[in-house]
Parts: sequence; structure tokens; C-alpha cells
Amino acid sequence: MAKTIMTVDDSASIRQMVSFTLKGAGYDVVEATDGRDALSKLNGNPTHMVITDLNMPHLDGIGLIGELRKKPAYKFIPIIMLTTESQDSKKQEGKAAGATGWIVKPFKAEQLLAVVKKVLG
Amino acid sequence: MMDNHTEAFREEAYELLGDLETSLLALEEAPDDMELIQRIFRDMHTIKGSGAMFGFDDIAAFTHEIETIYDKVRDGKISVSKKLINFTLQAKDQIRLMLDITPTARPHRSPYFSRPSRHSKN
Repeated sequence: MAKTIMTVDDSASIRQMVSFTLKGAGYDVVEATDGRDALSKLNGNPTHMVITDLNMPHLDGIGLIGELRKKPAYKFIPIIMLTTESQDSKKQEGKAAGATGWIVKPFKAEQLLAVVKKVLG
Repeated sequence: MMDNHTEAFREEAYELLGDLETSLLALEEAPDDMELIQRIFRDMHTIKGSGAMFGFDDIAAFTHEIETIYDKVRDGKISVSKKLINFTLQAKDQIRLMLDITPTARPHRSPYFSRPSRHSKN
């Protein structure tokens, strides 16, 4: 069975690109527009990995990571955050909240896939 | 395949610029509204981050400068003034112009804002 990855980003073009890339590699993808939307869509559903942006309305990426780590179903799943160069301090905040790693924007489809394959095995 | 993403970004950026204008005009009436300031920052941040993803490097670099100013507004280091709002409205127009003149990835196709019925087969 295909593994499910959730992409969380308030940018529609990024969601589209991440989703297209991952589906092309055989993964199932669920899209969410911000942290709040992500939590309501996850809601206990089996998900193997979350790729989240940081700066989002309602509930940002750091907040989302913190919330997920409190839930037994998502305590240990890989969470990759998408950052920009100017968000260096956010990387540490994300790590502290429980992020597995990060990818710096801009990134290419191949880079994304390489990280996903490394993390999901 | 990247072309679709480029056009998705272009469409998104026009929407964000519209949102930005609305927020800036509202900020003029309520200069201390932190939610508006956050929203303006986020619009800029998305235009920058997603622009860089899809090859709009000039837009990303230009928008980064404005985003940096609003980061300082967020931190209370710069206060909101009429001058700042006018400057940002001008910057927004500049970004729109940069979007307008950046060639589409597939110029033989109708841009997204054309009615599909007009040149649907070209």
C-alpha cells in the first residue's frame, strides 16, 4: 500500500508542486492549507510523514509540530519543515518542537524526493 | 510540467497582491492592528518564498527587501505611517509589474486571465 504524506502550506503553488512530485513517485498525498487545517484533516488518520511550511495563518508550522508531538498517533512520524534562508532561528525552534529535519526553499523536485526517500526508507 | 506550477504561482501572486492592497488600506485606518501587519508580512513572505521556487528570482529578491521592513514593523522597530503604507502600495505595484512582464513559460498558450473560450485552440 502506498504511504501517505501530508503537505501543509498556505501557498497553493507550493502545495501543487509538492503534491505533484510526491504523487508522481507513487505516494498518496493529503493537502492542508495551514496548521489548523492539517490537524483537522489528520484527526487520527494514518499518515507516514508530514511536510510543513512554517509561516502560515491560524496555526503556524512550529505550532503544528508541537501539537502533533503531543498526539500518540503522530508522536514519532517524520516531520520535515520547509524554511527560507532568512529563517535560521526558526530551524532551531522547529527542532526543539520536534521536527525531524528541514528543506530550505527554493528546492527542486529531486531534492524533495531525495529527502522523502531517505526519511521513509 | 514545471509550467503548470509557474502559472499556479502567477495566479496565486496576483491574488496575494490583491489581498495585500486590501490589508494595506485597512492598516491605514488601524495602524496598530497586529493581525493586519502579520497578514501583510505573510503575503510578502509567500510571494518571496514561492516566487523563488518557480524561478521568479527578481520578484523574490525585491519582495525580500519589503518583507524585511515588515519584519521590523512586527517587532515594533518601525512604526506604521502614511509614508510606509504609500511606499508599500508602490512596491506592490512594482511586484505586479514584474509579474506582468515575466514571460510565461509557454507563451503560445493563453495567459490564465484570458477567457478560455476565446483562444482555446491555438
